[in-house]
Amino acid sequence: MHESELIQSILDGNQQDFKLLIKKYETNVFRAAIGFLHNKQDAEEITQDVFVKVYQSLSSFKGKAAFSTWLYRITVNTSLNYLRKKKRRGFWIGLSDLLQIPSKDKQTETIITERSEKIIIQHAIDKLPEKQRLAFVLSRYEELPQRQVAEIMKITEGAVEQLILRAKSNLKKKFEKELEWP
Amino acid sequence: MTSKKDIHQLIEDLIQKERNTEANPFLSTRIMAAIEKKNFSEVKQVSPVWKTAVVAFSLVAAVFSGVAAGSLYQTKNTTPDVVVMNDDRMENFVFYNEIGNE
Repeated sequence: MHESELIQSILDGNQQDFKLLIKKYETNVFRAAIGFLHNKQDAEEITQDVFVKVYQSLSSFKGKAAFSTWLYRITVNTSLNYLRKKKRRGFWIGLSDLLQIPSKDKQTETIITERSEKIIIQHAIDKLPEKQRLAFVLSRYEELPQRQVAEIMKITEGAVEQLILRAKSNLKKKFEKELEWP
Repeated sequence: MTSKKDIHQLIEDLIQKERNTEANPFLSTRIMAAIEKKNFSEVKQVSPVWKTAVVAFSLVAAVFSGVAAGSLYQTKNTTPDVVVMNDDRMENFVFYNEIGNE
């Protein structure tokens, strides 16, 4: 069934057809959400929220943009709102992860180093300015073409390219600063 | 610690790891259940405007019924109760209080 037919069928009241739409896009939504949240449980929660919102507002989708573009916009907004709410709590959780008592065991030390690096990278991504983060996550996690990222963000492709370049440069700087490299 | 050249590689590795995270295979079922639950609760849910209207109406009704009940009550003009006491046979307590009679 074609996507527009599927949407029409859902709008006509065939609720079970919505499951087909979920199956088609759940991985994309989940992957984009994990790019923003870096946590499986949170990403699943966001995926659920996104599809509930999509179901409730499907009648407002006019088909001017691709369905996936509309879906990504909802995903981005839901993820960013969720992050804003969770910001303070997330900071303390991250900090407690970093402050775990180190062991002398070589293998544990490596695990801690890897975990610290992971947390530093995640924090660096989270601290990027919102537009840079958006462009970076959509292009790196979802591997979306710049054209689609531009459509989702309602900016030009050139602006997307600039945002991604600046995001990469900022990430490098932040990472070096955190690890105090010369 | 990681060498300076590896920063981009580290970021790529992390992204790759996170990209490979798989969602719960029953996520779609969970989403459908959430939608059905939401639909059901919406059907049952009364609009907040109606809720406010019902509360306001109940308050007005309570006040009016109070006033109505109050005005239904009429006082009757009955003669005041007078206690007629014949104190002739009452015991004289003064008698016992006199010191000489103790």
